[in-house]
Amino acid sequence: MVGEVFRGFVRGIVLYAHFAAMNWRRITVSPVDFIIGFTAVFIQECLGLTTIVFVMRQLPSVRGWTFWEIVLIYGFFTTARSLWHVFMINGMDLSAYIRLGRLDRFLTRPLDPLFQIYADGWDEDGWGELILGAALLFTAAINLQVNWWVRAPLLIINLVAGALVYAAIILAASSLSFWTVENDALMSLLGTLGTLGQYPLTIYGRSLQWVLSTLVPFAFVGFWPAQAFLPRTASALSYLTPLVAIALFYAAIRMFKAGLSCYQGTGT
Amino acid sequence: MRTYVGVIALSFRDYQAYRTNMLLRVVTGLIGVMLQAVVWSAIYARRSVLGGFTMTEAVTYVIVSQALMRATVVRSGLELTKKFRSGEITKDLCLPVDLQAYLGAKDLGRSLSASLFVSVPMFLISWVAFRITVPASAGTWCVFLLAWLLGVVLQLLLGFLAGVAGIYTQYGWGTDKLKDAIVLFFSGAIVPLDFFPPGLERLARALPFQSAYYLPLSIYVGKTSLPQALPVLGLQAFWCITLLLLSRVAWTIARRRLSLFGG
Repeated sequence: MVGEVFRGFVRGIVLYAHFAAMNWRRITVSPVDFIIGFTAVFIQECLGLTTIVFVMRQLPSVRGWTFWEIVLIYGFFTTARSLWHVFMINGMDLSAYIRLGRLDRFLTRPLDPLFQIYADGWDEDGWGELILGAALLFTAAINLQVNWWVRAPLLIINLVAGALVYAAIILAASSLSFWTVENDALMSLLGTLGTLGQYPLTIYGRSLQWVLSTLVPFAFVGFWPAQAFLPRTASALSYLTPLVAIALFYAAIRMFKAGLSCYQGTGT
Repeated sequence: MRTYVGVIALSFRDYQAYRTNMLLRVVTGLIGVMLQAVVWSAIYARRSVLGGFTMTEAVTYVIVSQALMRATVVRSGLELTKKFRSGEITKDLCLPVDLQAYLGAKDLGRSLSASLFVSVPMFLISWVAFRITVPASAGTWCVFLLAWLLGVVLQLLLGFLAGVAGIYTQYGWGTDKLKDAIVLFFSGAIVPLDFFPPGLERLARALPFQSAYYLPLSIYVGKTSLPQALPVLGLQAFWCITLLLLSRVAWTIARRRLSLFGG
């Protein structure tokens, strides 16, 4: 039993490596546009920062948060979301997979359809976001004198957990397209709602804090896991993020499977 | 002319075909509004004036900006490069219409639809929920709307220019994204130019992009008084004409290049 799971796991990794090599070649096929798009997303991500850098920097604190603490939370959220953006964004396009009949092709292969969706391609434009997020995280940590070397493993675990939480929210909402087929507007709504997670949670009213921690838990993408690196405010929730991530992602997979079991295809 | 009016009317109706989508756009827009309101209230928590803006002025500025952002739908650039990639453009060039005007008219129809059914509801709800101020005089309203319209024209011209640039890079997605990012940054759509560091502020004021958000919004919140507004409108008109000429030249050159491909 254990041997079987292990073999399945290894097979998954080997297969994913093949897909990954192909995906990398695909996104670098037109280098000029890749670089322009990369720059564009980089600038676009900087846009969200302008309020923080141009305005909040001049202030001693905003609702008790110092400039560098705000940058650390923003950088953490950006890095975690970019990991999702680069490697798992396909989960968002489920409605396109259904509409164009591409899901049917996956169903004929002896491989998990969800695995195939995620392995089907990487995103071109998430890379600028990843570099920006990492740079912010790094500068903020230096300025806050976070001891990197001791905390590096926890940082990586929490970042991956944050990315998984984001992926879980998107996959769960995306699975609705098994019933509704079309749901681009819902995805754009969630994307905007997600940006609320970029800022320290406590600037929002109490009810919104609850919504962002439970119903649409974007606070677990950046705010809570980032707390582990802010000794002043760390709480138990910061260390629980990996567990939350696994639970949420498992629930999202269940939802995907439930949708798949009543899937009939659109005839395309 | 009648052709283009027809195109505007058609894309006006097309854009609102899916009612639930329009509703979700309003909700999405309002989430953005709420975020801005919360962030700026937090900024002003223990101070009354910052960068020459009072809290009410700043909150009004960023919220109305959110509504304006939803009002302009510029897809001409992407449509142009899509036609180029699929080869459909050869057919379009044979039609007795000006391609730039045709694509511009389509965007104008979409933008009108978005303004009426997304931005106006967003504005009205924000007005009630976040107590933003509205211009006191009808004159200010008129000048603001005129300045905003010139900003929309400017964005349409920039969108088409980005599409033409996309023909050179052979793809077009990247150039369009880059244009969006530059416009949003330098137009003061997110943060009023008054808060920019001095060097960037000077640069932003020298570039045409402030026409899209900063100039109309300064009129709206009363930072630009009515007598001061005339040179502002003149500046906007100047940039529109300059970009119109530039886009005509760029398009003529690109079209010649297109025929060299034998497309």
